[in-house]
Amino acid sequence: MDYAYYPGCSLTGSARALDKGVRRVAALLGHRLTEIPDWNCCGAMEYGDRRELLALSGENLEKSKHLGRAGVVAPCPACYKNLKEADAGRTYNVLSPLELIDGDALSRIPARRDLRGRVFTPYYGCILLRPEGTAIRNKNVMEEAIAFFGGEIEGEKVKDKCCGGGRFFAGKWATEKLSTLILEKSAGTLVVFCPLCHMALTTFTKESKVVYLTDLLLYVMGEGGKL
Amino acid sequence: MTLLLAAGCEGGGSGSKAAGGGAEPQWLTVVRCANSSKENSRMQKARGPRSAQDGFHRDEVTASLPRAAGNQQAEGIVELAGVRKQDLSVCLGCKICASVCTVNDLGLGVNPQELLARLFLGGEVGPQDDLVRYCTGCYRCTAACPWQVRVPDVVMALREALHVASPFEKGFKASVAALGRVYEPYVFMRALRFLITEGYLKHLTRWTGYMSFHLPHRVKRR
Repeated sequence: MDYAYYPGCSLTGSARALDKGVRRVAALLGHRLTEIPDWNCCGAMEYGDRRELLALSGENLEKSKHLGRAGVVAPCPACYKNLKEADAGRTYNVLSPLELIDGDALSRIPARRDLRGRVFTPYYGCILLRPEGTAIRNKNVMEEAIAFFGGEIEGEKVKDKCCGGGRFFAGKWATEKLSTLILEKSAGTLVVFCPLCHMALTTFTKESKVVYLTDLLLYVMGEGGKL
Repeated sequence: MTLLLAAGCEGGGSGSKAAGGGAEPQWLTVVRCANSSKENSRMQKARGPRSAQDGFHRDEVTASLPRAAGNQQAEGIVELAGVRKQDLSVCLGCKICASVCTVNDLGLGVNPQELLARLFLGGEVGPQDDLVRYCTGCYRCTAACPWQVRVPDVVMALREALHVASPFEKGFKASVAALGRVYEPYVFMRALRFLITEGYLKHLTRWTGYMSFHLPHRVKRR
């Protein structure tokens, strides 16, 4: 399938690993992502004026219009939520990459390795799961992916807790405390899909490794190195 | 405490997205009728003014409605948050929002319902309020709320109105204003003093995987 692609600001900088991973996994699954030309910031969680926030994402949807694709793929959860809220009429079909690997797609992944003997804590954070109107369709997609390739799942109770990433650069102590609560209740490698969660958990972890789900999928596909 | 948010009765609750176009709850009818009643104003005079934070009953809330309707801060916040008063007036006072609030994991003892009530009953909400400062925008309250009241949107509107923003967040907006996108090196330079004084730089060794160099892109069509 052909999709318009909205990387968002963080995926051009600190979360470029997620950007590379999404593009590669999508290509291996046979999807073509075309970046929206001259896209602008979606506003993330920083704009209290909702009209301003929706206008920013509305502009991006408008810029994707001429691409005539099957939907708009937005990896960053904040971008995904904002674009989906701006698409009130559901005419643009805003998708998270997690929705591309849902269901039958897992069986189409060309697996060269498995995850047997490894323990993972899938961690979604907040915006992928809430509010209901903009949440992803399958709220167990990461568990299903890990289990499909033989991995063991732990830490189910923390999957939808908040790491405080949204306040990281406003009140660091709060993020440290919230992230530590999650890290204490997780086991093995933490699997995330949000750049803010990745940074918050990586900053405050003592021993757990934090990876994007795309890192895990690329490893399974034989593309990545050690997990 | 049985608490309903005073949101004025002019719009009613039947148009609320939370109500989903269904039948109006009985209590909302009670509130609306009470608000329009002359008896209500007599009751209010008889009781005298009460603090929004006091414990009070449903009829006492309706007595506060005329005052709430004139609350300018609430009017501005509702407009910024992109909601209607009646979308918030559906609060049943169950406090489930407080029971799931992430900020309470920090030991701060906040109550989102109380903040909304204070705001809409004419009380003061300031920049030092713990919920204004630390709400993470996790929407746990919204997911748990029987009416999916979007408290984080109200908190974000309050931050906007009260100019609550860290130097990093100001840098974020400055970058969007200048370039149309967030250019991380620009934001970090704008917030460098804050990052140094607040001890962020000690984490640099953990952030090597996030560092890269690319030139900024200036969005042309906005």
